[in-house]
Amino acid sequence: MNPASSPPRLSMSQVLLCGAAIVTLSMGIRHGFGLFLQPVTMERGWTRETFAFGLAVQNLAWGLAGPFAGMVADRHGAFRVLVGGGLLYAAGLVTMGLSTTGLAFMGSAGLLIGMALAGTTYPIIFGVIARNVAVEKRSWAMGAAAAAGSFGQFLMVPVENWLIGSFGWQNALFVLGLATLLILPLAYGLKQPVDEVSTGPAQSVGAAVREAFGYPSFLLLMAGYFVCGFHLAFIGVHMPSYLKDHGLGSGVATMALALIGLFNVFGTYGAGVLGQRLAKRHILAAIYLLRSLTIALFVLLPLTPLSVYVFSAAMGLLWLSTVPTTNGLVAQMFGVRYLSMLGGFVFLSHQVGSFLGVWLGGRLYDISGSYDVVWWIAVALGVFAALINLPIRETAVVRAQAQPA
Amino acid sequence: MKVDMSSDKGGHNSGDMKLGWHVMAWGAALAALALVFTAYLSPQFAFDLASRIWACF
Repeated sequence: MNPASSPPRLSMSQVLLCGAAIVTLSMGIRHGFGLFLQPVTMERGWTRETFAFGLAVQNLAWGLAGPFAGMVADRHGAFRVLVGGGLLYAAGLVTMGLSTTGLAFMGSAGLLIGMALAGTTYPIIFGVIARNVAVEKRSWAMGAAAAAGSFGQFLMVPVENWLIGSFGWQNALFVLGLATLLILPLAYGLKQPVDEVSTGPAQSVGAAVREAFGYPSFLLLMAGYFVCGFHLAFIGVHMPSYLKDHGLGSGVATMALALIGLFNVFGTYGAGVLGQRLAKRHILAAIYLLRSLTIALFVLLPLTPLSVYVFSAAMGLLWLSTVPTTNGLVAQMFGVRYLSMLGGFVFLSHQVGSFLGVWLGGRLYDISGSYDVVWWIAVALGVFAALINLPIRETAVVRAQAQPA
Repeated sequence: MKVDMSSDKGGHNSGDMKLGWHVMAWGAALAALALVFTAYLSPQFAFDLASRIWACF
């Protein structure tokens, strides 16, 4: 049997509706955390570093917990992981609101929410999709679910801004904590018997990890995703500061955020649709190359509100479009049995790239007094990612068949 | 010659229904996106959000 194929068990519409709603909540809520920086640090009397360190720990915890959450989902079903993740998310948001020390904030906003994200985001949902949606619709379905996560990011920024303005930051966190509990009933829609979860050829976790890390195409995919993380984190964190340095008003940054959010939904969905028709390595290479081209033009051309809007729309289209394509490739290479775990490893690489994008952006700015060097590093990395995606083999790995005695 | 068109009719109906669902789903998605985008354009929201973003830098 082709390891990439498995019989569908839950209905596609049920999987998509529940999966999409879960990632809308989990990705969306987390996306608005930057809005809490000012009110939290002012009321608690913390430095921005305290707040930023908590969120940096969150990103690392998210990446590090990903393979473990994925492994549990692959072995015992996504339902348990989603329920655990939903409870951790609620606990993390409530304790984030109650934290009065930097250490408590790191534990709540950082560790708890980081682990919660690992249990409620793409690799876990994609595992369920891949097991229950026919191969010929899988890429489209992953694109639709990923687009829901993009929509969540777009939606929750104004919602969280409104919650903070209307009820205060602390109550806003409590309301969001309650909202994450919706993940629990939604997880029921993705529940399937444990014996139905382990589809595909018998293979231990260790063997699956060794197989993946010994397969050059998987390593190339991880390296490409590292660049994706670098790009998104650098632009997401440092672009408002870049615009401010160049004398553009705060309204331009707000519109840029809106355009990235809007076009991200179309780009993510479109990448899933294209993944059904074209070679995914070509799609990924094109995405990374277009990112490099877009960044280069943005840096070379005079900076105006119009150039910022065009850049934001173009980057929005390319923002999370790597998500369904990258995870779809993992399923094509190794099948669905350990998809959530292997997706978690690929995402860990993304998070390391994110960490470097944020940190290096600030570090090189402090050294050189401008973001120019980092923009050009981002261009070079995009070209590098495009090139290393081209030789990826999209065929399923060949495994030795066990011979009957 | 008698031709049984029932399956053909069913095919047309199911095709129409499928198209109808697609149009409705796309319509709902685009309406939701337009609604959220409008929220970003609201002067009060834009001011609040810009203040919070700008305060970070």
